[in-house]
Amino acid sequence: MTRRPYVRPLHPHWWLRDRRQFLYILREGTSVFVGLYSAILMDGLIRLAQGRAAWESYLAALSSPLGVTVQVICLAFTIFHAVTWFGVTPKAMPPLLVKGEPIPARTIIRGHFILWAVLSLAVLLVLGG
Amino acid sequence: MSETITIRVLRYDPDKDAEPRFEDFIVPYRDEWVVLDALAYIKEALDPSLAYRGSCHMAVCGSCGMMINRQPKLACHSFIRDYRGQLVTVEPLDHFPIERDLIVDQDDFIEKLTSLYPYLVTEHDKPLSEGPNLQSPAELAAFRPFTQCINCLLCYAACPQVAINEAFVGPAALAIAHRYNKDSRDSGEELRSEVTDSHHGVWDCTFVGACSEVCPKNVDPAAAIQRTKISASFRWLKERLLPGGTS
Ligand code: SF4
Ligand code: FES
Repeated sequence: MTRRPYVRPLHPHWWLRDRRQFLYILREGTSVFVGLYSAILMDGLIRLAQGRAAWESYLAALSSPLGVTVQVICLAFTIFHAVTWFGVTPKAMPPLLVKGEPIPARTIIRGHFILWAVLSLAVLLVLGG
Repeated sequence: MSETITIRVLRYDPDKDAEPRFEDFIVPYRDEWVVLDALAYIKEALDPSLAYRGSCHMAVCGSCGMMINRQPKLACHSFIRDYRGQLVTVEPLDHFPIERDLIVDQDDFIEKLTSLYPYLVTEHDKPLSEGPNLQSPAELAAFRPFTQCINCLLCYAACPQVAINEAFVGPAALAIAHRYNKDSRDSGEELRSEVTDSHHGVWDCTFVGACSEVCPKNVDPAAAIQRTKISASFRWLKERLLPGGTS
């Protein structure tokens, strides 16, 4: 009897073969769009510093059909990104005990969604008002 | 003819095969059978050379982990009635070298686990006369879920980081390290941090979460690893900010 362990090569499309792995790669992929939107915001700051004309052209670019499309895509991916991360936050936190019982994961996740909604509303009110 | 189900098994005989190949077996269908029973039937009635591991038949020994229709599962915990009318493909656990048929080589895991002092490390031997080490229910709750690991390695088969990075210590070993770190009787966290805090320790984990999803004992290695990342960060800061740190 010989020992000759066989190492199976990783399937070239390993992340396409499994729903779980696909969702993971998708989650990682969405960070590109989170990054892209951050870059757009940074650009806004730079344009603002350059003066009125630069700022106006930045706003015009944002409201062009291409600008809107890019923002909608970024928004969709950012929401997906946030939702997937909210889903795993209970694992990243040390167990919070209330009267000796750990707070259920679902409650922690819901808390994040509520906080998100409240903050988004507050931002909308401040900017809109 | 009574109902049957086809089990497609990945076979590999290191003495004969250059690489693994699939072989189909037709076995009787029984409502109460798990995949492990079907494998036992194959070995007894169809091909005695089939090699697989299994013992307790009740999700306790952790030896029957395998890929069943591409998902890491315990063969003793997977009823064939859940695959009724389907082809059941059984392969050795992903991400491990195949020793023979459904048996994988676990040496690498054992080495990684051993490097983490997977036992209670005490500063000094306490004489029996001092009595037992008492623990409060809250102290027990801090590590209890992580004691449930049966070393079945399903989490390694589910983890894409294990797949692409051989050096990664991996979910179960890190969960077991966390289990001892959180035990009030233990004082080995510093020792374990050599490995847990290293690049191939918790930092190779990108928080996929697949390990916790497939774990048959609800161990939640993903949580153990993320919590260790937090402690590791504090240790890192402490070493650099406090007087007497190493750098
Ligand atoms: S953590 Fe769960 S899946 Fe991983 S070896 Fe332990 S029992 Fe198995
Ligand atoms: S036979 Fe023991 S865990 Fe399956």
